[in-house]
Amino acid sequence: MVELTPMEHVDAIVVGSGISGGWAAKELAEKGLNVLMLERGKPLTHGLDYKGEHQPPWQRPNMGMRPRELYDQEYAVQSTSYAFDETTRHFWNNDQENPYDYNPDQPFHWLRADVVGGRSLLWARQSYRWSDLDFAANKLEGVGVDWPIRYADIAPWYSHVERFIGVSGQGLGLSHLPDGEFQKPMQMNVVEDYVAKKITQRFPDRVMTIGRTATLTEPLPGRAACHYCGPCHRGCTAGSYFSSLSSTLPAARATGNFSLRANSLVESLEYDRAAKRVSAVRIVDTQTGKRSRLSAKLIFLCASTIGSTQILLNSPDAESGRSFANASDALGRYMMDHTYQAGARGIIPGFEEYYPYGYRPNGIYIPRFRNVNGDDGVGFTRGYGYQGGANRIGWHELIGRTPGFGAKFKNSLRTPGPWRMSLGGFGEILPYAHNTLRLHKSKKDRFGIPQATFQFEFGNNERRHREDLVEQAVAMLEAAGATDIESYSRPMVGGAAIHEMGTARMGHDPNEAVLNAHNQVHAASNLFVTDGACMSSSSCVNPSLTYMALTARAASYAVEQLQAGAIA
Amino acid sequence: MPANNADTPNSADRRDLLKGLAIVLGAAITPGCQRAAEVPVAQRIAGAARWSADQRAIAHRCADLIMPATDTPGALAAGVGEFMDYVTSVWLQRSELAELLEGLDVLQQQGQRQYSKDFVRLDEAEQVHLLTQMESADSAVNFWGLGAGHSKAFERLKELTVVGYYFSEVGTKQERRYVPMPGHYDGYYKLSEVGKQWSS
Repeated sequence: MVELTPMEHVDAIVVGSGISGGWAAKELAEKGLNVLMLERGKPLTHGLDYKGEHQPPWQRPNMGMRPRELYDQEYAVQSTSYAFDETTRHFWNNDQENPYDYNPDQPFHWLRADVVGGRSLLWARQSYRWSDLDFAANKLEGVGVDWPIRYADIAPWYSHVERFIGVSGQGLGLSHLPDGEFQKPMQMNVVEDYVAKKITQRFPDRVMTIGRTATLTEPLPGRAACHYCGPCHRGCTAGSYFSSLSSTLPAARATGNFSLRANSLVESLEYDRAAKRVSAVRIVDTQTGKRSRLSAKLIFLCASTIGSTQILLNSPDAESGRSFANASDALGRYMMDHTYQAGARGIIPGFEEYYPYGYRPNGIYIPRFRNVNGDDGVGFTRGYGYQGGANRIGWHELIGRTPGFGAKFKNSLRTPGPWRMSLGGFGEILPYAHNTLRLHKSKKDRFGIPQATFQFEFGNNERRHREDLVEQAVAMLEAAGATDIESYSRPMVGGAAIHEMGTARMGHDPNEAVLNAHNQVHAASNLFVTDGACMSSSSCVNPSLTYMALTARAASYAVEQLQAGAIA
Repeated sequence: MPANNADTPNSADRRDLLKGLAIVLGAAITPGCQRAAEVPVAQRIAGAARWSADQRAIAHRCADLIMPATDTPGALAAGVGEFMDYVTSVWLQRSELAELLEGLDVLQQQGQRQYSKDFVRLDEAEQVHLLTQMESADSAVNFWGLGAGHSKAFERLKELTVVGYYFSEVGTKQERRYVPMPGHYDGYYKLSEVGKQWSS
């Protein structure tokens, strides 16, 4: 047994420095707790380490070409992301170094960062509130487990989070996509405004709005408004985007109660069955392989949906030999994501005198319109929303459309091509017990920790809503007068939307769920799980804002309980 | 996590946008496409200089025919020659390179057959004539001499030239309007105010 490392007064350990971990650290430190954050990834300094930021095309490594051999050998999964290239590779996981396992007949994509800040650096920052259409759905339909919270429980925490991170967006007054504390919205362009009008004319229950994004249109302390340079995932020294590094970690540091250890992989938790609490956190130093143990009054697991559940699965109760957090048998089950990579696009004739200025890091959003007021009789439950936008076709596509060569060809590439409107769907995936994250029985990582392995398949409900979302995308483009409409529906891959959720769900009953209504592990009073693992359903809207709100809410509860002596 | 990007509104769209594009451009811009694993090991990059001096000279000459000097510099002045050298020597897989080299050899053969000269010694009109025949895969002169289906070399030459050009400083700053820090967004901006495509 490794000795407990003596530590100067740490009240709380936060595992993970991403979207959720950053919020946990900030809230706990601001409430006076001494917080230690552990991050498995490499250290990263805001600004200094954004080596791809504002990098001009002619200065890119490899003359701008993607090193295919390297990507295939070492980044086979990560390189499927639109945000992965030589400007961002240093943020991402090396798949060869940190492998996982899946059934090859049902591929599962686990996209993950490997630096301080985690995926808060890489996410697209779309920030939407969930509603009671989402929180009440499981109970109404008898699917999965009832969410132990409703919108009223989380609404003030959404406001708390939005005011701090800065979310720009347009209020719509919809009950199923509640408005937030918005900064002024980014602008839709001339064609998006036109298409929005046409869609609502033809389909009065549908609306197209500008995306709600955690990118500033108005400055906040220490953070400038967006300068519209475009690719946020390369880094934003101005802090115009929300990330842990730009926002929550500086706030945590400002309290003087916060410290951070990078290269610190949490392997497992030690459980004290008698006291019903976690007694120690086991850590591997990823640079030296050295193992250590730490203890604290409070533990917040914010290591990501997969990371947190992997730690819990690897933390046996001495008596039963199975995870101390898994009395319900729900741990590792009910993995969800969003359906993705289906939709349609078409050419919008006209508007050729317009060509937007600036690179808006945001698109449009069409909120869910299926099954909003009861069952629409469309052959599936729940629904989907669309993201997309209108842009003029650029030079890279004009090459193939422009025959010939020489001066005339060269000049004809200069003018942007016609406008194209694109609509891509994100649909709700139901919680299925057979969609699992498990520890592999024999495969271990380089530290001897069992690898994560996935079984993930889509159900008929997902297939049906996906067919419908493609049809409806086409119908809306037709309503907007689009020509050359092309629909697409790629093979469905679990994890591909990078909205993986579930596997340690919240629920009232310890026999059915891992976490209670405050993200507290039923079996361990001093342990909270506040990242995507906690989700009991997946909604069809982007989940990150909800993780942040749940984290802030849980942190407040945890400190109250600690002060009341209710946490041992 | 997926969503939005300045050039293309979301990643699904971005992938779709580039679907069907030829290999160099597709792989330069599109994630996840053209996996090395899809190509047998024997056909992967050999790592050595893999074209002859003649083939290289023809490709470089074609670059300037495809993107000549106009009110902006031509391809070679923009550095497309270096780009072609890089891509052919360390980036293209063998089967991809073979298609290109075959096309360059055919240009050489047709120069000899139609004008009794090496391609690079032809005058510009003759070179343009041969390249035009190549693009249309002119069966009247049996341009390819190889049967049907060998038109990829022209596409690849064109693509290499344009991609190399647009990735270059000239292509970024002169052929396009370089605005790395726009400061704001205007979705109703008039094309006439800029007259060409943005770059960043």
